[in-house]
Formats: sequence, C-alpha cells, structure tokens
Amino acid sequence: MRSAADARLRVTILLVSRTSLRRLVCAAALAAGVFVGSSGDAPLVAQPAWRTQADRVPARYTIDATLRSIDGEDSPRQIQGRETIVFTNYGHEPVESLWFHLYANAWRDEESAFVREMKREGRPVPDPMTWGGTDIQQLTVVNSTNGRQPVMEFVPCEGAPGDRTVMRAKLPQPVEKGASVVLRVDFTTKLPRPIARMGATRDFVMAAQWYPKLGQRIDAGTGTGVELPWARNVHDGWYCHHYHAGPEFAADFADYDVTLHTPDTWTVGATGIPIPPSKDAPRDEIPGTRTVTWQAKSVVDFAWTAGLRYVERVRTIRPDDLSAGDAVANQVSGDRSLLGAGDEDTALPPVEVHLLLQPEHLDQEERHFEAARVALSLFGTWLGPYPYARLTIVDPAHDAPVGGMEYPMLVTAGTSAGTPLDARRPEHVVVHEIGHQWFMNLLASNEAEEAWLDEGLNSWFTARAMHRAWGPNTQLTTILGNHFSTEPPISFPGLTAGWPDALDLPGWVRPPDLEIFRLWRDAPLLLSTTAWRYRPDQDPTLPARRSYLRSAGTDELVKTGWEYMTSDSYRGNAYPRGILLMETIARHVRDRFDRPDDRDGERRVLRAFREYARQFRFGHPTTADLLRVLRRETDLVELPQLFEALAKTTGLLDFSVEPVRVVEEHATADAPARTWSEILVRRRGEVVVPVTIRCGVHGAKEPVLLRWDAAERWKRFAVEGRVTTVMVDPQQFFPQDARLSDNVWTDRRSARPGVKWGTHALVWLEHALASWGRFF
Amino acid sequence: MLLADACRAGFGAVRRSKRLLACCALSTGLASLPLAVYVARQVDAQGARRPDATEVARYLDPDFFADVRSTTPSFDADAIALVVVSLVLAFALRPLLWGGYAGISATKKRLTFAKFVREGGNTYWKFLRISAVCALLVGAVSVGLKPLLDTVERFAQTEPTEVSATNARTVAQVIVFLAMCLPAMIADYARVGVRMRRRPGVLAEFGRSAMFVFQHPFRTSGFYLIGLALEVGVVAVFVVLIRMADGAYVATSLVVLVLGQLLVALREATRLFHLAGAWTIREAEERPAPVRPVHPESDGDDLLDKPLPWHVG
Repeated sequence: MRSAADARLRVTILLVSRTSLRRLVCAAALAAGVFVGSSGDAPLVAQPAWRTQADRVPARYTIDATLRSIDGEDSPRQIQGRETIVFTNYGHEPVESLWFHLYANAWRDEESAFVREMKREGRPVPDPMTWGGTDIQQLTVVNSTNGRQPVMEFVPCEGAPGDRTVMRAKLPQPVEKGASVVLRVDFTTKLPRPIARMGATRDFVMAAQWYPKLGQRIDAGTGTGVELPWARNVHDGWYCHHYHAGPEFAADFADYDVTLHTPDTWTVGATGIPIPPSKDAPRDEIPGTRTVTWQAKSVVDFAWTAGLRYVERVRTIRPDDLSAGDAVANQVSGDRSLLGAGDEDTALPPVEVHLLLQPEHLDQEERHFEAARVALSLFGTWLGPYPYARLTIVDPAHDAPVGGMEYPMLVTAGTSAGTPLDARRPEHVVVHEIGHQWFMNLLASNEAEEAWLDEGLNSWFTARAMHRAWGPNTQLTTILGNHFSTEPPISFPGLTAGWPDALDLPGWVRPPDLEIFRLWRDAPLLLSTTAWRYRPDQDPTLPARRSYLRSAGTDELVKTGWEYMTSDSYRGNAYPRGILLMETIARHVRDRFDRPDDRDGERRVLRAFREYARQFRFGHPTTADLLRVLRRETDLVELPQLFEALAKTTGLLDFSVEPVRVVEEHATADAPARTWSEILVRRRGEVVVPVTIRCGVHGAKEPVLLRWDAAERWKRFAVEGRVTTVMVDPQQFFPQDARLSDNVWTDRRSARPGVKWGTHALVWLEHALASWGRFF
Repeated sequence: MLLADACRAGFGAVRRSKRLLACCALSTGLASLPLAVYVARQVDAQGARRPDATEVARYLDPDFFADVRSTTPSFDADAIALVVVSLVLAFALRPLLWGGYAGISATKKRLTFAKFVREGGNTYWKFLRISAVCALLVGAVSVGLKPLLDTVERFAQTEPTEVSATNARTVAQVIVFLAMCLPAMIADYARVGVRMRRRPGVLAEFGRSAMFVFQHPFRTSGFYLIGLALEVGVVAVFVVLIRMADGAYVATSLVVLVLGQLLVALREATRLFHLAGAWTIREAEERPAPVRPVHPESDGDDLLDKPLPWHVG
C-alpha cells in the first residue's frame, strides 16, 4: 500500500498514453495560439479524424472458456477458463506486481463488500441464493527467466476483511519499462443466481465480470501536471477497487480473443465480432457443444451471454441515412448544418445490430431497433461515430435482474410483455445503454471515482435524444403484469406497506403484499389519469430534478463511489445531478450566445462535446478535462463558479418569492399619486448563484427584469406599477431548485388545482373504503 | 332456480332502496371528507398562484406534488392519519349499514330512512362484532396463505417465460383474494342468521353460517361470485366514465365527484344485492319442511276384518 504522502503525488494515467500525449499537444497548441476556441468559430486547425481504436493497449487477453454444469445441477453455470494475458508496461517505472479484479467473488459468500453494503441498506440477497465466485487454479508467468512464479494474495477491503474481489500477484521479477510479461491463468467461475449484472438461471447465462481482469495501471511521477483527485486509491501504481454495491467499474483498453464453448442449442451474444472457424479448425471435443471465437479490439471489458430461448434478429442500421425524414433524421440534419462540419467528419458508418429477444417480447422488436437507430444516429452526430461494426442488444430472461447494463459492443436492455408504447421503457433503456458505448467505453472515465462523467453525461444526452425522438413519456405502474401509464397522485406507502414496520410486527403475522388488492383498491385513479413524466409544455429535465431531490443535500457530485452516504445518494449524484448541471451550463451558453437568427449558443455546446469526445476518444478523461474543454469551447466565463456552486457543495438550491404587496400612494402636494409593488425574494437554500427575476406589470408591454446576486438570504425590490406576475429564474437556468411552485406568483387565484386533486382524493378514498368494506 | 330467486330478491331489494343507497354512499363520502379537504387545501396553497394552474389541474404533475410534499414534509403522514380516521369511521358505520340492509332484506316493503336506521341500530353491536370477527379472519386467511404465495413465487421464478410466470402469480393472487372473500361471505350469512333468528350468540351464528356455507357450497359461493362480478363490472364501467369526464376545470371535477358518488352507491347496491339474495337462500333452506301428508290407506279389505296371522281357525 502506498503511504498518504505517496498518494499525494501528482500522478497521471500513463497507459492512456494517447490521452497524456494529447494533453501535451493541446497545451502546446494552445500556447502557440493555434486554437481560437474562445471566439466560438470553427478551429483553424484541421480536425483529426475520429479514431477507430486505441493507440496502445497494455493488455491482450486470450481466453478459452467452457460453459458447463456443476455436478449434480441441471443447468450450466460454471465457466472453466484458461486465460493468457500479455501485459506490456508502457509506464515509466518497473511493475513489480499485478493487481486483478475477481468481481465474481462478490457472490462467493456474505462476507464480500458488495453483500455487506447491500445488507446495510436493507437490500435483500435473493432467497434462496445460489452463490458463485472465481477460483484460480493456476497463475504462472510463461516467460519467466528465473523459473520462479508469482505469489498471490487477496487484498483486504476496508470494512469487509473477507472480501476477495481484488487479488495481487507479486511478480518474480519486475516488468521493465516497455517490456511485457505473459501470464497464464487457469480459473473457474461459478455464476451465481442472477444478481447485479451477472448470473445464470435455468437456460440463461449472463457472463459479465467473469474472468480475472487486470486493474488499471496508473503510473506516478510522469510530471505532466495532472493531479487525479482519487490518487489516494492508487496502490502499487494500480487502480484496482474492490467490488462495491454502488459504483461501477474502471478499466483500461485491451484486446480480446475469446473462444467460448457453449451448448450448441443456445444462442450466444458477446462483445466483439465472431470469427468464422477455419476449415482446419479441430471439431469440438465435447459433444453438444458449439465453439465460437470472438475478437474485440480496444475495448474496456468483455461480456457475453448465452440462452436457449433467445430469438436472434439482425439488422444493419445506417445511422446517417436521413431518408426517413422523421424527427431523428431532422435532428441529425439540423445539428450537422449547425456544426458546419464536413461530410467526412460527420459520416456515421453502418452498424450490424444483433437483437437477442425473449420470445414473449417479439412484438417489441421494432421498438428495440428503432431505439438503436436513434442512439447510433444522435450520439454519433453529437460525439463521433460508433467505431465498431457490430452491436448486440440483449433482452435478459424475465427472472434475471441483469438488464440495463452496458458493456463494450453489448448492452442489456429490459422490458416486459405488454409495455405500453407511451412509456418508452425499452426505448429509454436501449438508448441509454448504447450511449454508454461513448460514456464508458470510448470515453473511459473512472466510473468508480467520477461516476457522473459516465452516468451523468450519458443521462443528459439520453434525455436529449429521448425528447427529440419521442417527446415526453409516461410513468409506469405495473400490477400483476398489467401496465398502467400513470401512478396515483396520492399514494400511501406508509399505509399500505409501511405499517407492519411501524408496528414492528414479526414476519409471520405480516400480511402479504397483494397486488390484486392494490388493483382492487386503486383502480379508478390508476386508470383515470395519465401521468407524463413531464408535461409537454415543461422542461424535459424535470424527471431528473425529482430524482436528484430525493437524495439531495448529502454528498458532493464528484466522490469515490463507495463513500457516498447511501447508494441512493450515489445514484442521485451520478445520474440526475449530472443532467441538471449540464443543462444549467448549456442553458447559460445558449442564453449568452443564441441570437434570433443564429443558434450560436447551441453550436458552441455541440462543438464543445464533440471536441471533448474527439480529444479523449479511447482515453480516460477526468472532470477537470471536461471542464477545461467546455470552458475553452463555449467561452462561458462563469463555468468554474457554476461548477463550484452546483457540484462541489452539498447544499440545496432553493429560491422563493413571497406574495407581492401593492402600495397605492395618494397624491400629495409634493408628489403625484403613485402605485408601486414590493417584491420580496428569498434564497432558502445554501447554494448561492445569481438569478433573474421577471416581473409582469399591469399595463406595461415589456416585463421588468431584476438581477440579484443572492449573496444575502433575501432581498426586497420595489417596482413601479401594479405587478401581476413574478417569476424567479424565468429562463430556468437552475432546474435544481428544490421547489418550483414558490418561484412564481400571480395576482390571479385559481381554484382549479385544489378542487381537482381534492376531488380525486375524495373519490380515491371513497373507493378505497368501499373496497376495504367488502372485508368487514 | 334458487339462484334466480336470490338474484330476483337482490335486484328487488336494490330497486326498493335507491335513495337509501345514495345516503349510504354519502356517508362514505362524509367519512372521506377530511382527507379531501386536507389535500385540496395543500394543493391550493401551492398551485393557486401558479401561472400554469390549469395545466397543474389537467396533468398529474409529479413535480408539483413533490413541491407539495417538500413544502409540508408531514404531508404523507398527515394524509395517512386522516385515512386511518376515515377507515375507523367507516368501520364503525358499516354495521349500521349492514343492519339496514338486513332490514331491507327481511321485508318486501320499501323502508323509510328512519326505519333503516332503526334496523341498523337494533343489530348494531352484534353486527359490529361480526365485522370485527370477519376482519380478523380475513387477515388470518391472508397471512395463512402467505406460504402459498411464496411457493408460487418460487415456482414463477423457475418458469421459463415471463407470461407463464405472470399467469402463475395472478392465479395465486386471485385464489388468495377469493379465499379472503370467504369469511366475508360467511359474515353475510351470519348477519342474515342473526337478523332472521334474533339469536344472541354472534360467534355461534358465525359458526352456523360457516356450516351453512359449507353445506351449500355451490349456491352460496355461486351467488357471491355473481355479486362480486357485478361490483367489478360497475368499477370497470365507472373507470371509463371517470376517465372521459376528468379535466382541468371546476365543472369537470364536480362531474367526477358525482360519478364517484354514483360508483360508491352502486358498489353498496351490490352489497345489498348479496345480502338480500343470501337471505332468500338461507330462508329457503331453513324454512321448516312441509308436513308430508299421510297417505290414505288403500281401499282394500279392512285390516280389522282380516284374519290375524295366527287366527287360523
């Protein structure tokens, strides 16, 4: 372990050498005044083409894996593997040990950090649980010159000493700079009952995090001047975190050559491209087994799935085919012309999309492909082309909670039979997970330390894509397999589910959770009102705002994944808070630079992200990298202050306006009659950001705009005339505001909301009492 | 034939008691009023001064309700307390209604409101005990059938398809729901029995009614299912009607209010329908058997004139 002093060393991700190199190039270019990004015009230098693979990969994996049954079990869930790893030291210092992730050991027993953290938050392990884990039978250095072999040991996890998800192998001799070491690892991974991204059940296998995988090599002392905020979690030059319940992964780029032996009746999907067997290839030794070799270049992980019931559909998607003339094609066309980039720069190559569907979801085939088209078109236009020729979308088995997860060239979706179209559920999952092909794989930030760079940015682009392709979608309530595009406005979890806890009832006297009774009780309201996630006239980021506010006020945006107060706080910061922050920045840029005849602000936003995606493609950008590019490309001078106020604090942002007081002064000898309004605006939250207040004045053509720096907790304004409406932050720069209803005030009262929802409450309760009344 | 008679009696009782049923629905509405007033006030405090008040009334806006909740952090707890109060009120009121329904079932005449209340008052304490026993039994049944649900859930998880798993879960839940209806059905026959025989022991009557139901499973459960189907049908129809009528204006809210009242009145009607029918079924079964006429002896020789077997001389 490194000492704290060591941890404060300025370190740099070296193995992403291209990134470092590019930083230097960019810095040099900036110093030379080559870039003119601050003007917002097109850079004078020629844009480099979009890279299709990483310059250097530190690891090459060759794996031969066989899926088989464990003795005494019917369905196969054991992977017998033989792995050859060629690790090249591209760093500046010799490598004395190799650190490995053994993620599957999170499911070895209840002593892992993952399970402990799950239990701490009251999330149950499935009952009955089928445990799994990875065992290493042999780890040898093939090219050892002294005949000695590595010494392996598990690295204990703070708070979970029994965790075995990280292993260190002390090499018999260091790997010098530029040299390579060849390792052979024989391993067995038993897949658990499906849980958190991986597992096997009956005739379905999701093999993610299934093989011994090297950590990410971080080399110290290269002196490029970039300090990683999470340097304290780098040990022996490796970033290799234990598998925790909240955050996801961090990995370096690698090449994979994986041969899978699976039952011949099963359909297989995997990262990479299957290589047709040569005529001379030996036949399978095990009868009933099919062998396919998959190759993947420059990817951060390798996952695969196999299943008996999959129905495979294949379609070639041409993301830049605008002949459809629909909303997506128009968006792509509009953004291309806005960017003013050449055809070569915006060209999007065709992608062969393989869809592995469950048979009961065949009617949703078109929806999945359409979502893939939306994602590949819009993300490709905004962030550069998808660089691989193949993409697999997996619809997992119904009892396997492994959906909604991203791997390079393979994503797991998630739907259920009869999902209504207006909920856009499979569409959202597919678009989001395909978006991770950029924000996870191509822009491989450290998701365990700066999760928002993956999840937040991707969620922001997903929200943009969803809104542009389909508009608002509905909430979804599912009861006994029936989907309702709504949720009750007045729901009482405490009444319907929480009272046994409140009364501390022992388990055996707790009534069951009867969904049929819920349907019986809530039918009129469940079926009477469609609930949109945001109204057509509203801001599309509002769902993210709600999600963020559920856990706001506890942690900063950027933080080590397992150090958030709860996993809810982790998710609230990683996903919706990033959306809100990006939206705030984008709205500021648009407000500053958009003109009635020129969308320069939107152009700057698009260019900034394209530049970020171009510069760090096949790299490992950090938050500082993103902010630097955004600042340079958008020319938004207050960006650092906005980030400071909205991301580095744990406080809430909340403004309110009090009812306006209209004062009518009668004419006196000294002064004529005068009417003026007193407006009291308050800053109820801790976050201090300047805001605009718009006042509508009776008889005036233009509203009065007031600026307030919000340094104090409140401010009183006097406005000439009778103010009829007041709105704090009318441009909605800050969707983070904890309460939007008190940001506005009008002099006209409307009884409609109160009467409407009071009536609904009455009808619901009458109906509920009548429903309960059948049983007493 | 008996089921037809029971249906006829049920519909007859409903037809005779339209105004009374409206009053019963109104009582449910009154019991629900505290929550409605509370929600209306809270929503009004947040929404009345919004420029988009009409949109807030038109759409179910989760952000708006999030604002309501964050402004009044105790909103859910307050609402739950009010619902519990309404539930207690409804539980206390229910025996009065059942007593009135039993009174309607006992006579072919139209009951006045005063007579209805008097009927309810006469049997109030017995019917309250029946309701309590029924609620306890329903709870016990639901808890007792948890292992069934767990077993089915485990089975569903091993099902290869989502559809078959959902079907298995649905069937299990329907079974549990119907099992929970069993004490409710027995309670209806107990109410009939108490009113019919004026017997003092509630528990004994409950037991007798259970025996009655088990002795006549087809006609009792068949008639109960007819009543349940009517209620489900009424709910389904009104769900559509409420959806059509719902809107953003005070007028549309009032229409929804009227429809809601009508829905509850019709649901009460199905309860009366079942009780009146149950009365018919139980009365038919417990009516004293008619005295069989003694068959006249054949017109043959007078027995007295016949020689006795041993009279051989």
